[in-house]
Amino acid sequence: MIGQIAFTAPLLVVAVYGLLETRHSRVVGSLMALAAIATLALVWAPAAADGVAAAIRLGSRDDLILYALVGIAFLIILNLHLKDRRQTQLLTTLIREIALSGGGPGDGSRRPEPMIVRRRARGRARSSIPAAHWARTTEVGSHAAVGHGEPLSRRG
Amino acid sequence: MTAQVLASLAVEREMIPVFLEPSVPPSQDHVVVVVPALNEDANIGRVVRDLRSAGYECLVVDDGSSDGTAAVARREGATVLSHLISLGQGAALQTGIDRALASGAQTIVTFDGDGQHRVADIERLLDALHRGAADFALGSRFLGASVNQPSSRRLLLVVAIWFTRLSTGLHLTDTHNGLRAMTRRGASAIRLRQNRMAHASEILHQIRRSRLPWVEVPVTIEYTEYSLAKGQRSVGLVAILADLLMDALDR
Repeated sequence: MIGQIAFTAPLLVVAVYGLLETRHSRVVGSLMALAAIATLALVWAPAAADGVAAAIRLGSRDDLILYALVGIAFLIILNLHLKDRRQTQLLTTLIREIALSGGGPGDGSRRPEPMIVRRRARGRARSSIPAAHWARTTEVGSHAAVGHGEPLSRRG
Repeated sequence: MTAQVLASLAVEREMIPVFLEPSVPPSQDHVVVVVPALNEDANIGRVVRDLRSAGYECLVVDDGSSDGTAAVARREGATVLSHLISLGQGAALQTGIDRALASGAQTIVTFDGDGQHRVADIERLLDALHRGAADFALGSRFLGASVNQPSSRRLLLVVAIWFTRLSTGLHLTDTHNGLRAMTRRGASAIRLRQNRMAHASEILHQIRRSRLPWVEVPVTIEYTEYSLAKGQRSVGLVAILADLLMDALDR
């Protein structure tokens, strides 16, 4: 009984999380929710779990539940990978907009330094933004203000 | 600029079609050749020089190179856009297409930066676009010629062709050729989400979805030791399939 209760809470969380994730990925979100609910059913219906385990020749219901948990873990990892891809897409858009606005690593001969590095020294904030970056930022900003250097315009 | 970036992020997230207005008046024969390049300072100078001497406007998208690619291309007269970090050839192509559309290009050509394409083939692509009343002219090395093509590369391409035929329904003879030409209308229908090499398959999917006419044109690909060293390896096919699968799941 204690084991069943211990399994229930995380599986419920995974089921709700899966349902919420269907907004982003219908397939993976639905599979996560379904797998969590099915595993909950196996946990709370041991006789049925024994029957299923025997039918698919997996030994005992414990093995079946273990395999189901491994499957859920795989789906969670897959979902995290898809989230990472979405972040990469946003990063791509950002890098593209910077490139199209005339920003970039200049002559391309070296990697850019971090744009803003702040550190605390002697109790107060001190900026260590390279002067070249200030100049470039100012230049792009002023171009944008007078309507140049803005190659893109969008409408929805 | 901040508002623009945020707006474009929103567009990307919701996958709203993006409409680009030219910032300069379009001319009917405005052709822009987009050259994605990553660490190509050994070759990009010759590529840009050849394109410029043939009279083409050349737009090099430097995909976060750590060498002097951007400087060399700029010195040879190309317009250069630079990605702050390397995102992949597909991302560089989309950046170039966006910029070309914004500059009012009526025809956009994609051309590899490693020197394996011939500038003379661009004229054939443009000719086919106009004669065939098509929106996409896709280069085919199997209709044309391949110089020094290794048999392993040929086998890899044949597998890719059959996969693409099955998945898109387009009966093409060459599916991963970087030499293409597209009209403004065609380019506006393309929105690449695949940053890496899977973009070649994605373009074909989007061509299929757009229902715009396309035509294949014989071209010549010259393999050199340099281009083979930089090109795709067999394991790249697995990565492409994985990328396409992930894209299908992420909907």
